[in-house]
Amino acid sequence: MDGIDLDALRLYWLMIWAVAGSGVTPLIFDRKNRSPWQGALIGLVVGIVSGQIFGYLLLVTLYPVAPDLAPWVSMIGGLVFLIPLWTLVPQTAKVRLEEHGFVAGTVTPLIFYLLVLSVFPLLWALILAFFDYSPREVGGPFLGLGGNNPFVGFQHFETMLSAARDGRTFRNSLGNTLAFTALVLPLNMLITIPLAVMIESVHKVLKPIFRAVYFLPVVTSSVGVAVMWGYIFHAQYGLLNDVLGQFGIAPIAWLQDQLANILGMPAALLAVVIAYLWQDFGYNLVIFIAALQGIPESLKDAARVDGASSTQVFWNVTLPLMRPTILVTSVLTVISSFQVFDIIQVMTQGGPGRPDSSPTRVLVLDIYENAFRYEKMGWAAAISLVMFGMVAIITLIQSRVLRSDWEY
Amino acid sequence: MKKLLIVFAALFVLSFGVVTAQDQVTLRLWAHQEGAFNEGTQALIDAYMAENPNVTIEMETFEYDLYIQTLQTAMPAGDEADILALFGTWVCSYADRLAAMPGELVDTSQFFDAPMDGYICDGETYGLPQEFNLEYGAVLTNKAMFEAAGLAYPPVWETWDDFMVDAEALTQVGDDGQMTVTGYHYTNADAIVFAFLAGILQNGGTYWNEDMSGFVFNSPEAEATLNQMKAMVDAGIIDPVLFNDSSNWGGDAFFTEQAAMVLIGPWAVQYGLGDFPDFGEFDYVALPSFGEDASFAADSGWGLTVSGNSSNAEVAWDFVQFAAANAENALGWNMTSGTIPALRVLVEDDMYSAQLLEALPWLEPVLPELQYGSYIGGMPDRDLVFYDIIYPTILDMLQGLLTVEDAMLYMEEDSNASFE
Repeated sequence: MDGIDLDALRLYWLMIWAVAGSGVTPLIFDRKNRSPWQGALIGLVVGIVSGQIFGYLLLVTLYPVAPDLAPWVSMIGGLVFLIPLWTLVPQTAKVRLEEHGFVAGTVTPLIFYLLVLSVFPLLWALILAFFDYSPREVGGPFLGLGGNNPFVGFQHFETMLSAARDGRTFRNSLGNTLAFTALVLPLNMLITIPLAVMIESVHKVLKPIFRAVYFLPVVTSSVGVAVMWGYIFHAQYGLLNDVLGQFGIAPIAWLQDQLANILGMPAALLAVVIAYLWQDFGYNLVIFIAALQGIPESLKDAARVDGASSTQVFWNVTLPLMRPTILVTSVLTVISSFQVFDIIQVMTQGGPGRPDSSPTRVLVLDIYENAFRYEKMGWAAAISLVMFGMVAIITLIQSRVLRSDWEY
Repeated sequence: MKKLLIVFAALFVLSFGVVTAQDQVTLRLWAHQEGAFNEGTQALIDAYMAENPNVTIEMETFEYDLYIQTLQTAMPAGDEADILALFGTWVCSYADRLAAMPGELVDTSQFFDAPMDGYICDGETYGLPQEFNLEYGAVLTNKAMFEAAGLAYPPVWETWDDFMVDAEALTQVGDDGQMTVTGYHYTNADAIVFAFLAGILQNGGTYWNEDMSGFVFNSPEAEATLNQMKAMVDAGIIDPVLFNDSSNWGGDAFFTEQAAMVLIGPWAVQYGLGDFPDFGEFDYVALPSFGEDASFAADSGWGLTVSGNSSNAEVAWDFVQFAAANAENALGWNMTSGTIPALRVLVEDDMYSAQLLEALPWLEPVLPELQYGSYIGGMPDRDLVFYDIIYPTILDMLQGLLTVEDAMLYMEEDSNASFE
């Protein structure tokens, strides 16, 4: 069957009929007084088996006469066993009071999707971190592991601490990621919290306008944002250097010059932080505005009656009551800062300079380059594992520090 | 339940369908997206299908970065196309998953050694080259800028000193002290790497150790080359902070008149003319040599390979032979894609070379240089060594962030680690 991607079709048959089988069968079992959870399981298995067997048979039977139509018709292969199952399964006389058909029919397909699309890749990454795995190499018979993709134990983690180029690059990327996060988190909070309070204080007609304007960059393509800021920071034709030139300041190669720095901070790192903040702050702003609207006015009124000024109300009432929201937003900001990639990839490509000394080489870029450019999947998976651990630890610390023991 | 089981059993028995034999052969061909290249390949496909009506070849193209990712995920899964356009220098790293050329299908000595050697791994041939990838030997020059600077055109440089005089005259600096036009742009990633390797060879050295199991970048010849490259920066003909691979890339800088001369392969001309069709006159001019001969190292360029998973490998190889080893077809592809032929006869036979130069006149000074080219040699990860080690290290040295000695040490140590 020339031109037919059988593996892709198998995947379609699996995903379609696993979901249809486990989604519909519980409802039918429920109507027939049978256990919907049992129905979900049976539907899942029958859907997968039927989809694979009859999908393939329909494909090979129809392909000689209608090669274009055959892949589409093969998609209904799962119905061959499922329809008899749905129609012929006998009703029981037993009366069931609890009807969980809908729950079983929605939860089971979702669990299946999560297992296939999230849990399996996570486990795969965990396994790869202990292998010197490259898709270029022909490995052993089981998932390509072994053979030319040998088990290396903790070697990748030892390399991270070594003087080898990979180790130096990893440590530089980790340091840059931490520096990026350390800059973004406080700056984001310093901008968004006061801005949210100010927007909350304006006339109600203006509020949605401000919200929309500040939220616009969030829904803008990151690549577009990066290109725009790339032009602003351009050494020769950039808007920023033009403005600085008006004050007699010599042009700066913001994104190219490794020696350029602002208050000791590499100019390239600062530039990507600014671009990132510009795009990201609207997200937290909207959350803070919602949080401010949830604070009962009576609490602030009570403070004012007691003689508190606006500043005191903000510091002693509003801010403490926003603590749970600050926790959530700071956790989300840390996670997204650790995952920064697109803006840096477009603005600096991780440069300027060598990967082990560049100020904008970050962890995700390191993972991307190693996994998809140099095909060192095992090494990339080990870096991912470390990054996962770091995000988990920082999140845990934030949760402890910002935890509140009360509700309003 | 009994009825249900009977229905399932009946369906099972009935379901063993019939697979009929196929006369029609459909092949898929994968390539990276590059307008002129794809146009040339499509013309070859059309011609082959006209000669072989039972064969259908479908070309699918991918953006360059996506192509590499697609290859690396599709090949282990066995989903890749039957015919894969690969860059010759990559071929040996994919050889385990490619089909070797059957028997004596093509006499590989018809091709120049530099492009052909990339397709030969452990004595087996895994594809045929379509282009000679030349990145060093001649420089692209802008006629109008030479004339505006009052320089003779076309220039003839007997020595590097002659060259530097012209490059300095062509360089322009703005009122704010920033360089606006570089006289000689040689700081693209490929340009830096190939100038460095050529410099080592022309100074009488070699960049491989004896058994080609590691690099020798810490040598007097490498030092002499790096000192010469640095001397060009010190002479003020280029600002390596403003002009490099990620900022004012050479191809763009040349066609936007920010570079009067650029060290770049002829493949960039078609690309530049596509974006700037009204660009004025330009030529390639041979560079002076560092030593007595003009040796240079060359990548093995783009060519065609056959997947080891192809169920029609014989037909696929027939197409590869048709596209790369047939002189008329190969010439058509080179003329459309604007590339230098890998097939010797297209350069050495007057009739073919006249046709080639009529379509691509700027190649005239380049063709005599091809004889000096040799394959760069097989390495575990060419892109890693070139773009993540040699290029950024030399650029750091040119920007004054590393000494020549440190740069040599870093390059040798880090590049050799890629063999482990």
